[in-house]
Amino acid sequence: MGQLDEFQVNSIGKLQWGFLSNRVKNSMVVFTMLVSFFAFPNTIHASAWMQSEGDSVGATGVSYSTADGFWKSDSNLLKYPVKHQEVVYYLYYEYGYSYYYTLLASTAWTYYDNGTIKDSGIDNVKIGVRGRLNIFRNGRTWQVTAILPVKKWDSSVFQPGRGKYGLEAGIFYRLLPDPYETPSDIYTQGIWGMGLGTTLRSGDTGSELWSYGKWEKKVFNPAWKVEVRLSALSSFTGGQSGGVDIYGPNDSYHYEQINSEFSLSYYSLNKTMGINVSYKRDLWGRNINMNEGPHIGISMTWKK
Amino acid sequence: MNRICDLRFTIYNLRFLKIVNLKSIFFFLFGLVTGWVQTEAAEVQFKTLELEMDPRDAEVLFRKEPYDTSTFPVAVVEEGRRIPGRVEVMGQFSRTFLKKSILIKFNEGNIWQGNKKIYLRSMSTDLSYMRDWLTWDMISSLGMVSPRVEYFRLNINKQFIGIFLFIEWIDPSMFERLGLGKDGELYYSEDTVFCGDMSPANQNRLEECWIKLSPKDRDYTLMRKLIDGINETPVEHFDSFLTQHFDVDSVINYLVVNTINSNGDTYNKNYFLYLSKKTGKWIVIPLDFDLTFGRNADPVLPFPRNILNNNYTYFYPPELGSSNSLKEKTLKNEQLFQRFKNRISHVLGITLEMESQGFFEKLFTEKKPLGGFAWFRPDEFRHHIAELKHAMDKDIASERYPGTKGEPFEQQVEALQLYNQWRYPLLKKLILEPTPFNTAHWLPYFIFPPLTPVDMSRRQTVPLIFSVTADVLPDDSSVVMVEELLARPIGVLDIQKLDKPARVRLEVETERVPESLPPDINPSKCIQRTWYLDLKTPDTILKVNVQLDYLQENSLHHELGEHITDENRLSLWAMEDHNWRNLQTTVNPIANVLKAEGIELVPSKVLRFVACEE
Repeated sequence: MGQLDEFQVNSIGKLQWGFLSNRVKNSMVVFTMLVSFFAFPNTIHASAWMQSEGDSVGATGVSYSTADGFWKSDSNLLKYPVKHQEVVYYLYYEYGYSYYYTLLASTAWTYYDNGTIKDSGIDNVKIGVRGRLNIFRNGRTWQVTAILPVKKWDSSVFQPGRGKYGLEAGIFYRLLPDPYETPSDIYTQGIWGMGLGTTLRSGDTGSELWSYGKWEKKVFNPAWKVEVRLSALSSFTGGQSGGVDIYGPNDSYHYEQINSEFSLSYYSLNKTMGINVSYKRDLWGRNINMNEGPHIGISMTWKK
Repeated sequence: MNRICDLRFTIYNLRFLKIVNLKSIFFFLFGLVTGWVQTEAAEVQFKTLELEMDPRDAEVLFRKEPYDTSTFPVAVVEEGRRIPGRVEVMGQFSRTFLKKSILIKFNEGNIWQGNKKIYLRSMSTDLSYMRDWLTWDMISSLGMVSPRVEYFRLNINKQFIGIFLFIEWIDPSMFERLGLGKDGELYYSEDTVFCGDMSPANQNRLEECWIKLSPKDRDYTLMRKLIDGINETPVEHFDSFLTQHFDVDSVINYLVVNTINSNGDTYNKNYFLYLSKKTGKWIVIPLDFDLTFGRNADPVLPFPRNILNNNYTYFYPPELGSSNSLKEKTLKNEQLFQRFKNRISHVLGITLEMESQGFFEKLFTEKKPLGGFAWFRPDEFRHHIAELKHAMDKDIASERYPGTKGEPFEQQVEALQLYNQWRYPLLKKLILEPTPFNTAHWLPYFIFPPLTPVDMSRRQTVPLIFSVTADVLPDDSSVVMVEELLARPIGVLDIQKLDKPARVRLEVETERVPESLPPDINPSKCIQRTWYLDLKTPDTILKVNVQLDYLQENSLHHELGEHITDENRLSLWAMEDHNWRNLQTTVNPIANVLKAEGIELVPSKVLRFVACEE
């Protein structure tokens, strides 16, 4: 214990806390740092975790989703004659600018096929900043993100907000036990988390309120984690409640959605790397597609 | 006055050991006159370090999440000068406490007292705050290469934060300062993989087991050559090998220090090796001494209780800790083992060693006594402890942030004294004195394997009976009752009243539920040990204060009844004439020592003691 931390961290580029149960500890650092980055691309930037100054996190992954139908304004499900498909490959980066601020950026390449139109390209670029709601504790953050569209999509390639400038703001909690009462290395109980925020988009439509609640728990050993997440969103502009046509919803109409996600993550024991697989399914909605599909991603942390 | 006592003590012991050496006595007497013999360590100084920080950063630094590694702007203020830099939390396990170790790195071109960095160790896992300092003090007293180590009172923005230990950063510039050049090779035995043991088994994973700190490359050729040499050299030639490749004193001292302070948390980690190109020799520097002087890790309990536990041991032999080729061959080699014994004897204050000198030095310079003489002798050790306690006493209570939870400072300090009181006679007898059969009590690696495999999943008990008979003189102040064959102390009698020389016997039945207990006392609330004390000399009365200990080596090997909840509430019971009497008892639950005062011993009446929770 002691002086060697610096050498270990700086010259080897990994956190090692030594002594008796270091492998467990290492896994917990990675676990804690990466835990928020595995999710579907549209929520990947929403995290309750602040990076230490100089720490970086990079993540990449791919998700595939399909939609056989959409929920009409009365929340009845209408089947599409053809399957809608979307593949998203994303890149994500976070940097601990200081103890008080974490900077983040992401982008994604998207392929879309609704049976009539096929299109692909670089989607939005997001740049944001995250801060602390409690200066002493992690897992309590605010975040503001600018959404900069890169590609002009065909108007029939619909997803709420696609191709629009936006500003996203939210608060996030991950209710970890007090580290001075229960060190993060040893807690075994399930952890609750939540987020609440809004996305404001250019134009008259597409702005949303959103929220999520989640529960996570270590399984098998400290390197493995399962997470169950329930998310909801509701548009608050656009306001029209009429039906939509056979090509699916668009954000001129008020839309709402509830979806679920189950994920399993593994974090390597002595390297700052993790892998995650998850499956997401929309449970209910109005004026919105019913999507479902898997995701796989890897993530890595490193120090300055 | 102290020195006269020291002299009497030393000559007595020399005579006792039948190794009277007139030359040694001459040098010792000469040393006393000229001030050569330094039996007392230099006075401990507590300096103050003043830091300036943004007030919010100053709060955050200690109260933030344990494993956050952010840095914050800071300035050291000294003599009106501001030295700017950045501060961060250091350490591993100590991060989990509010009182954290910190590291200050100065901005380019700035130094503080010759240092580019200040490492302040919080000592949060050692509530005595003394284990690190004591060990470094012993190391430097013996003349080992070691960093500068000093206590500091840390103030941030003029507010007292706590007592910290400054440990000079161990890097090439330290070796340059010490005249060993900064162009050598510096390695640290990686403390997460436990394989820096120099064994052939780990020879093919050197990069995993050893961090090469300087130069920062991946050339392990010299380290590989060294470990090959250690493993290939036969034991009988190992003294020549060590002389050729090592600063031999650094190896001997490394083993001696670990023996004195019972440091088993090393040998496969927690030590540096430096190859000085100036001398062409390797040296050893140990590090991390929180699990010493009685404290030890638990092999079974989960983290963090494997480290923060109530285990306490003073009785481990010198080869404690994991195996290590350098340790094993050094102790097994006859010449080196003799040097080890001489150095132990020196540190115990029994025989004086002189500084080793080269051929030309011997011709032209006088021999000087080696430092560290009598460092562990009870009177000297008590002096160290008392001095440190005095210096810290008033500041401990006003520390801003707490370390680990545990027994109060007074008990922590007393536990250190008790460690010394019990380990000193053990080492003296175990290493330096023969058994009544004129054989050695202990020889390196004479280990008797257990008859059955040790089952680490259940409690182990090895019931033994120890019996000690001692002769006590009226002017004796204290007698440590040390068992003759295993050299185990089993009790201490402080003599309160004795009119003539007397013989006293103490017998202990260990690791078994007492056969007889006071009425209405549940056996599971009792220590599983029984003591018998009696006076063998007729027509005399002996009044003593007794100190008795119990075993708590680890969670699988101890004598605590399963329903004992608070060792502070243990008390001794004495049975005399078939009647049990509860005794006013003082407990040190850290050192596992029970004390009762004013026990009167009458010839031919055996007093039986048990200890139970009220």
